[in-house]
Amino acid sequence: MTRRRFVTIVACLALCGGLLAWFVVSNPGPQPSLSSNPTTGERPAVSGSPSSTELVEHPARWDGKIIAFVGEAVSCRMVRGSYAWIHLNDDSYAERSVEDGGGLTGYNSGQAVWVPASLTSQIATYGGYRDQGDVVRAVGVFHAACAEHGGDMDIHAGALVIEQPGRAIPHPLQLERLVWLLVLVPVAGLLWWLYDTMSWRQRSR
Amino acid sequence: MILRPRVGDHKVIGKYTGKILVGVGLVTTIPLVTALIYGEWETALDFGLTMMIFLIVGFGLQLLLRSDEDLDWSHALVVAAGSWILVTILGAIPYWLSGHYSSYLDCMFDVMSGYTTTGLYLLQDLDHVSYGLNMWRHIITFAGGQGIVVIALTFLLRGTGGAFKLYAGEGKDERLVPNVVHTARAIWIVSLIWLAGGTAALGATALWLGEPPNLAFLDGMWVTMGGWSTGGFAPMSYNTFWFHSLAFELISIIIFIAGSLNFALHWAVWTGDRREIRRNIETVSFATTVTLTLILASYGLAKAGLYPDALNFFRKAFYQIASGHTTTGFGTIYSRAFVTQWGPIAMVAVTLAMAIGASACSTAGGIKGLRVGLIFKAVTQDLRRLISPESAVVTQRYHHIRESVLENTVVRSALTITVLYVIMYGVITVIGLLYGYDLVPAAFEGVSAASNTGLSCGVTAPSMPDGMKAAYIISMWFGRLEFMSVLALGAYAYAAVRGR
Repeated sequence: MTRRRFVTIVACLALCGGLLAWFVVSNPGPQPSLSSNPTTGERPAVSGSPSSTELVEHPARWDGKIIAFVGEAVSCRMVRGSYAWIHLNDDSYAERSVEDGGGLTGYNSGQAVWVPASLTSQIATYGGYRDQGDVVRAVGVFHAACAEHGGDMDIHAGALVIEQPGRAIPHPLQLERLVWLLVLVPVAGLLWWLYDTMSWRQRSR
Repeated sequence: MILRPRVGDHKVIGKYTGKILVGVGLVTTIPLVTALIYGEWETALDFGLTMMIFLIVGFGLQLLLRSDEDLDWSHALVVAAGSWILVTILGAIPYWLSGHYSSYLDCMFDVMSGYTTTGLYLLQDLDHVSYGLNMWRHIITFAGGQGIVVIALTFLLRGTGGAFKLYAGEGKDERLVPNVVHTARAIWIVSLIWLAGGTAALGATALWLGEPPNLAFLDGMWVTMGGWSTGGFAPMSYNTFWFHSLAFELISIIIFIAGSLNFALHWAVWTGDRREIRRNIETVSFATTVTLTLILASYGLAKAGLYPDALNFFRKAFYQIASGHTTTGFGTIYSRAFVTQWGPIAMVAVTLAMAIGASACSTAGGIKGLRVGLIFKAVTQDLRRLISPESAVVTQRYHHIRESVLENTVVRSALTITVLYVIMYGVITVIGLLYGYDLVPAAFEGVSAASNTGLSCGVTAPSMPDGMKAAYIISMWFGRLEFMSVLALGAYAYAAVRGR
């Protein structure tokens, strides 16, 4: 394999993808605005409150529409300049997570929301192992493949409302498991010691 | 006549299986310490219990089945395949104790998926799990990428003749240095250097992207573990889509492509031979098939008209193809988006990329670029023979660490494994069809499991029938160990029952 051939193959990799991509270059359609109509003063109408499952299953149906999306804010916010990313999960765990004694109902599901960073300061608790996060209502434009964010599916929100504050999840120590551990530690230690002793005897023979 | 294995055979197999269990058991120290650092006492207890059970079974086996014999080839293959089953059963304990699973089968599915660096998972409510449990998910995929036998070889076994057989039984056959234990250590050195570098790069990027420092460090480390091992586990249910960042995606691509390269190639570059990267048949094969599958995926996406912007189009297409081809399984789209947005042509392209896979003797799965390259060379040789005079001697050469002449035995070996992979892909797809899934999703998910990739189009779910879960577990196991060890274990079990 010559160097030239290798470089050609690698160049093809970039070129082919780029060329094919140009076939589909076109301008995205007009996006609805979240701001009030300057003449009438009316707020734009919300098209609906679809679930994340509905948005993922039928993205074209909601693409470019203003929606209201409700879910538990999880993990953390990621501030990027004057905006921030938050992730809202609208699965059953938003109400009560497995750690909080909630039932098993499948995977997590939610949507990524791009929102002015100043609005996210009202979110006090993000969901995780220790906490049930705030349940937040976001109103914004849904993008099936957002041109601004690398083709990600997201919601550009202009308004956030805390619907339900988060709370800490208690994790009491399970005594039964502690007892089991106290029983198993000496057993494992004894077997380790026996193994070491026998190996040493075997080696010294 | 089939000979029944002797008691001595059982003893030597049990002894080495015990050593591997002790080695893996000690790995639970890492999630245990993580849980203690973060004050997750409940999780720490779970890992304490798990470690004790591993040690009791491991030392118990070695005490009960004492033997001075060294391993022969059949023993090594049985130990390699058998220890994966035991490790899967015992490694599922902390998952089960966490309460995030519907059944023990689901827990075993996730352990097998982790150790085989597949990345499919059945854990429910991932976004609320403890740091300790998330560490366990990633540490098993990182350790599994190097091979659990490599762990035992590194820490617990001496350089016996049987050690190389054990190492080869796990689907690796490259000796980076003459001594197999030193080879195992070299694999760990390369992996740990990449882990440190990847954690620093991704952690710093995550911090820059707005994550708190503590989370940025953990996410950087976990994504590196998932990427380097080509495992595809990520700390959040959003996978790498969570970060919404081109920089993060580019770094993760570098890490998982590096992880998908042959350890021998890493070692050659490490020891100064940089030309090996462009000369090696595997890297050439990989670059070629990535290009071809990317073209096909691009055609499908262009038809779907999903990404109007050229950069976004290339970014999404290349990431999913590269992730599939390296059998990593990271995704920057929702699983179901393959079906609802990408469409069948792009899905077939990703399926083909996953089926081919990356390099032999790496952390990756699939047929492997080396075999695809060798088969292509063999076809070229045959074509050249057809158009040459009858008296002409047509030889074909290939470069893999060293320059070699293509021999029939090499081609036969490559073809045998390739045919077995294709059969497995076919069988697992048919199983999906029998359970009522459509052809393209059934093939996509089945190939993803069997090639140890982990990209999902939504078929894998806790609600999936148990039969399919079991079939995926078996296919992940077969795919990771490249058939021979598992077939040897089957033959051993048959001989134990029916032999004389």
